[in-house]
Amino acid sequence: MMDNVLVVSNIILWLLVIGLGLTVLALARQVGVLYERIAPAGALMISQGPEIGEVAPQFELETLAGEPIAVGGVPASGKSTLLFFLSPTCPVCNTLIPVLKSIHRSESKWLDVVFASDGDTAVQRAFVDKKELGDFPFILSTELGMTYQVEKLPFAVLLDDKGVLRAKGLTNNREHLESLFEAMEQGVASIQEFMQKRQQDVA
Amino acid sequence: MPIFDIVITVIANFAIGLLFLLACFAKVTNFAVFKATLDEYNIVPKFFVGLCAVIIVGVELAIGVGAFFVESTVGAMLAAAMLLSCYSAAIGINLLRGRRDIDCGCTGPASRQMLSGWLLVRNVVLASIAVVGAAPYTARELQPQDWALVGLALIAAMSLYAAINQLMANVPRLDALDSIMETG
Repeated sequence: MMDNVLVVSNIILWLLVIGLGLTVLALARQVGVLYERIAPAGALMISQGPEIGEVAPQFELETLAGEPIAVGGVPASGKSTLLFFLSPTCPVCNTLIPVLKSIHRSESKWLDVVFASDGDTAVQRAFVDKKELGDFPFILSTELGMTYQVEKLPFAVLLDDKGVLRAKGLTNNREHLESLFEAMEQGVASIQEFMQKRQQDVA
Repeated sequence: MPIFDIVITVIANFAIGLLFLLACFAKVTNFAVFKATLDEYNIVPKFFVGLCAVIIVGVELAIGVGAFFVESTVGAMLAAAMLLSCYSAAIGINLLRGRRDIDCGCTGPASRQMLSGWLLVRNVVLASIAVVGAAPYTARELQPQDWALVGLALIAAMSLYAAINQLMANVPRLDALDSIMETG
């Protein structure tokens, strides 16, 4: 009799332990999502900073190699610009560098690729050497990152040949990067907006 | 001399085995990111990173599979404890260098977990479990209720482990939020 009670209580306790474990997991996830949502940059990625369709703010900066470069405004080259924010300490950024190089090779007729970072110059120089980014304009500017409200890396901004901001967002892989071009072609601000538009068209 | 009942040993073996299989899976599916992460640790020489990444994935797979077979459990458990110690050393070195902002790469890129002292604590706990799994045990025929116990314990342990990982991944997000609040 006593044994039976113990067995039953044991089973119930196990189920409760597992239930509690799963509940804690769900709570922890919700807390994580909450942190992200209430952080201004996380939730308002698209609406923070310069707006899509606006002429991007103009910056007169200097590349790491010491050459002057204009970011924003009507580009003298008549090309579009892909501004890629990265950091030496971001592994996902590193995986995208070959992708950006290949984009640069195949799209160089109409697109300039510009890298942007901030922080210690020596560290960044070493990074440029290590990743063989010497051929690209590499800008160190906290101001630029602040203007575009870059909170998370890797972050990309696409400016068209008239200096108008056409697309921007967190880009974790090649598909994300390509979605920026897609957004520019379709004339929408983001892939989310594109989906929304399409749904409305269907309805 | 036997120390633990076989059920405890089996739970430890399967838990470590599952852990390494999942870790290995996450690394293989995002191999490029794992390689970049390993590079970021600045421990292995640049030319060796690619090969080293392959070796780590291979060892993790071997541990994961080996943990489930009686003949190889002791070896797998000891290898697991050693590999975890290596990870701890790599994390510890980077913490000493003051590099808390690199991704730990523990459970794939999705978690975006940064380095912290808690990872060392976690690895010590995991290595202890592996050592328990390698210790001598009292052999006996496992009954269905023993297997039920193993299953229940694994589910409970996995959900708890995932919850703790999630909480650790939340820490930098909360810090980021705090810094935004402070600067207004």
